Amino acid sequence: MIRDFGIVWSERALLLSGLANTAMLSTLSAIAALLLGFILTPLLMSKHGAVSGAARFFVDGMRCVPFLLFAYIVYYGFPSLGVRLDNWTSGLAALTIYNAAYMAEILRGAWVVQPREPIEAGVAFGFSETTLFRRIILPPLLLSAGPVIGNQMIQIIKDSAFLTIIALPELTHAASSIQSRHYVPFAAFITAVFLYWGLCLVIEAGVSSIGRVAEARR
Amino acid sequence: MAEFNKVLDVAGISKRFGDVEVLTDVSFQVDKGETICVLGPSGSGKSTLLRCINWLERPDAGQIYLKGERVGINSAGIVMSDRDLSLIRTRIGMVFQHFALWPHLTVLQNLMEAPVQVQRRPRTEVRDEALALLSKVGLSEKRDAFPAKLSSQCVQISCCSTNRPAHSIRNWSARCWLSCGISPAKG
Repeated sequence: MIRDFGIVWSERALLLSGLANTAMLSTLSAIAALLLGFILTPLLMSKHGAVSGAARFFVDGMRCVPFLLFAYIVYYGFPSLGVRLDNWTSGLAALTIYNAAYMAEILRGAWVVQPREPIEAGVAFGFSETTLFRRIILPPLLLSAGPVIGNQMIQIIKDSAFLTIIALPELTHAASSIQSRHYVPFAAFITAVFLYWGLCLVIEAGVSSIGRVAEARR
Repeated sequence: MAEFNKVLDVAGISKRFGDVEVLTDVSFQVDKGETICVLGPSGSGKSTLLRCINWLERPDAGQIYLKGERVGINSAGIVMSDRDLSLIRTRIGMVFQHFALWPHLTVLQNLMEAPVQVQRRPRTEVRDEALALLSKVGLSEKRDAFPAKLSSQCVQISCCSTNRPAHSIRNWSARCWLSCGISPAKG
């Protein structure tokens, strides 16, 4: 067993590059998904039925599709529609679009329980719709939804493991190739598990610092 | 055109929520420098009246004129765009009844937010004015506190004042009126 971990150690460069790729994929798509969520959430809350209906259709649609299937559709299915993306672009796009739906729903949930008067005070002061959202509505949403957003970011990290099926050289892919090369499945996968855990600890640290900022304002 | 001499002219406002008729044909006028108090038990429609004046609530009937300019309906007779409504709302200050401070901003930031973000006034100038107002109401030492940590209405009144509306409508209790001592809005 010690020998198995020794073999994994000898392949550390591969694992670390997998870890770096997973971290990069997750970070980029988490940021992009959150930004897309900032656009989608006001659409979900729109007073125009057609707009909120379309946004609702997208969000509910995404939430009902298994991520693996969605990644297949983007990578293998989109070329039939004439959209041919390489595996990096497909992976990033799939992670981003899929999780944007969740981010939007998380923010919407936080929005509907916000007290009405501070937002109306913004309207009464003459804030335009976009400034109102950016300056008055969004910051308290981020503070109150921080832990749930952090949870979703952990979900993004875990979803990124599915991208091994489109040959993205991320952490699971690296662990998988080490085990197939040296036949050390337990050592390779357990090492990957701990590395994923490390990434999640970083997210949790971020969430608790948002929590402290929120606590000061509560 | 009598209404042009009035700062605010509320003419025949009615508002109902479902079966409940909250306001029935309410009319009054406010002259420059005049202060009007609307008193009544809770649920009698005072807040709804104030909310109708700046169109947070759309009145079912009647007209509101701010210095002769119709609020909520443009010259073509149709409902104003959100943008035009925002513009006219910047001229009407409003103090809310309950905790309407922005929870993520400090007291000082609350005071500066609307003048800087909506009226695009220079930050340093607004800051000086906000600090002066806070010192006037004896809240200088609370400038960096968050709203959740204080009783809020004095700050909101100050907010309304830094925003320099020409006219202000205030939804408050007598206790607060006595404790804050900011003069009614200029103009």
